[in-house]
Amino acid sequence: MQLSFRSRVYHMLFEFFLIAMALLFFVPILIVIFNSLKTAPEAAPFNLSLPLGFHFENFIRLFSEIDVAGSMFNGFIYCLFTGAGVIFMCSMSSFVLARSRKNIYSIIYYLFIAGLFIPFSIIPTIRMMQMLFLYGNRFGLIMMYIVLNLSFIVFLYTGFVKSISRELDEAAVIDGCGPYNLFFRVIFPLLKPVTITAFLLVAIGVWNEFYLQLFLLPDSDMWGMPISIYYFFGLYDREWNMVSADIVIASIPVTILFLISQKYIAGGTAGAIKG
Amino acid sequence: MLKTKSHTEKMYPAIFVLLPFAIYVILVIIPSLSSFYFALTDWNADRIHHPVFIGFENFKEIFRSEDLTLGITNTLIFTVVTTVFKCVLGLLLAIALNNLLVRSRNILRTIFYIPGILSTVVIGLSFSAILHPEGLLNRSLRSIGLYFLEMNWLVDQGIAMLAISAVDVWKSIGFVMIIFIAGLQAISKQYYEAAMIDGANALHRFYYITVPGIMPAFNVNFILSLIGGLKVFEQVYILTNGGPGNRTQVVSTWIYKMFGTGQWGMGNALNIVLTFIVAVIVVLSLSILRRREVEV
Repeated sequence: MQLSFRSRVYHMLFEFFLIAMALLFFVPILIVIFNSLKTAPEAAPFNLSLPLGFHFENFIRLFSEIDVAGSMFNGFIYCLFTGAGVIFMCSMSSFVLARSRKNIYSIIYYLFIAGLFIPFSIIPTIRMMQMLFLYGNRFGLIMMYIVLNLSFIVFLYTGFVKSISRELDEAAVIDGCGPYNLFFRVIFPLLKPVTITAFLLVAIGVWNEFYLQLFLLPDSDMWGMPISIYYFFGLYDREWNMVSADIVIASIPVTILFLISQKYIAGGTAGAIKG
Repeated sequence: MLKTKSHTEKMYPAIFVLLPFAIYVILVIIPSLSSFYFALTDWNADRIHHPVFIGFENFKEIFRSEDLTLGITNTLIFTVVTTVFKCVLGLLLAIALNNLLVRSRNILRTIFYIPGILSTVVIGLSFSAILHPEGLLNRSLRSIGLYFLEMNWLVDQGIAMLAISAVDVWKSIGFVMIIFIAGLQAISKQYYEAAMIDGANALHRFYYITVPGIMPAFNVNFILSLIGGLKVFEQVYILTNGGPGNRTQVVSTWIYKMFGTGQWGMGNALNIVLTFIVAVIVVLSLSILRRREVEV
């Protein structure tokens, strides 16, 4: 398309405006990145200024003073198992919920969706978990993360399954293929965009979660990354350079995960929008 | 047709649903239902093992207490402000960054999404430094001469609720934008081409094609923002912790505080009030939005 000079100038100005907006939007994150390389007094005013010198030793101090590797490992375990559990449970149940015409399934679907607006009540939940020996251990925390993510991910998957043709199921019947083969060999591979989106959303949520960990895990060795920030964030002295270094390290895994999977998000949520 | 229906039905085994549903019932539904009972009891740290049934006393106390009704008002302010700004700004951003002539659109989309992947703790701590009375925001305002805009961002009740809302919009705008972009891309180009041939101008095309086409995405964003706003906890907890006094408490932070101080019966009752508010608002908006939705 050939554009006139005037509209080209207009588009350049528009793009310039968007870039300026994005930079302004990004200021808080830049401050944190710069702060992570400063000395403590230099970082204290929380300014957007380039570091006077690059103090990479902040990161060395971070890894030697607190068990970053352990916290990261905990986070990875929680993300991986929660993500896998959510994908396994939600994809299978959504397939049936979206396809079967039995009335009972529409009731179950709405009960799942109701989880989006039932506020989580911690005390009765802890009692239930104590009865089931799920309290105070990693397995229980992961189970809790899974059930708290079920509602939204079932919503995403059912929307997507509805956009997949039913003729595939009919063809599978004619070819004499059973439900397990139909699901795992035909349907599940087609759900790839929503599976990646679901994993991304769940993993980011779990990686950043700290509230349930405080409640359900009395042992601090089992905590993930977010709580570690408070190690340098005392009541009286706030070492902003160390806090920032911790933030940078805590944010790297989710940022990488996001960058490699972001192109699937639009496709993965599209089904839910149409459904 | 009927024949194929009964044939394919056996391809959808109940076991696929039953296992996840059973776990969900045990860990979510039953605790939630039991909280309905505990809401009607006097259950606190003095009688840990013997909640006493007191009927609707907890609910009466909630609506008598000015602090708690202020909490409900704050929650509603936060919900309205964040929902409106997320939906409007998110749609504008999506339209701007769905424009093929914007060459940097992919990197810009990524930048606008990044805050959404950061922990609320991280965002809360950074913004509490920026919004501090002597923080970056006030210092910048002073340096460019805008003294009258200098404020105690996280201290005065009204301003603080708006500041917390702004931080939440900053965090979630990227997600809203992505959903709108998915919605925009689902609208067939042919509609626009046909409209151009028929001589519709940009405004007409926006109003008659983009707006109806974007409605499903709008509904998802609107409902998720509403629910997120009404259930808001972390943003307030980390930025102000409900203070100063209890002036920026929202319902969830009240619940958290009550559970922390051993007022479990009251906490459960407030939880039920919150559930009820969310359910009424969400069901009402859904029924209004469904009527406006069109088949594309």
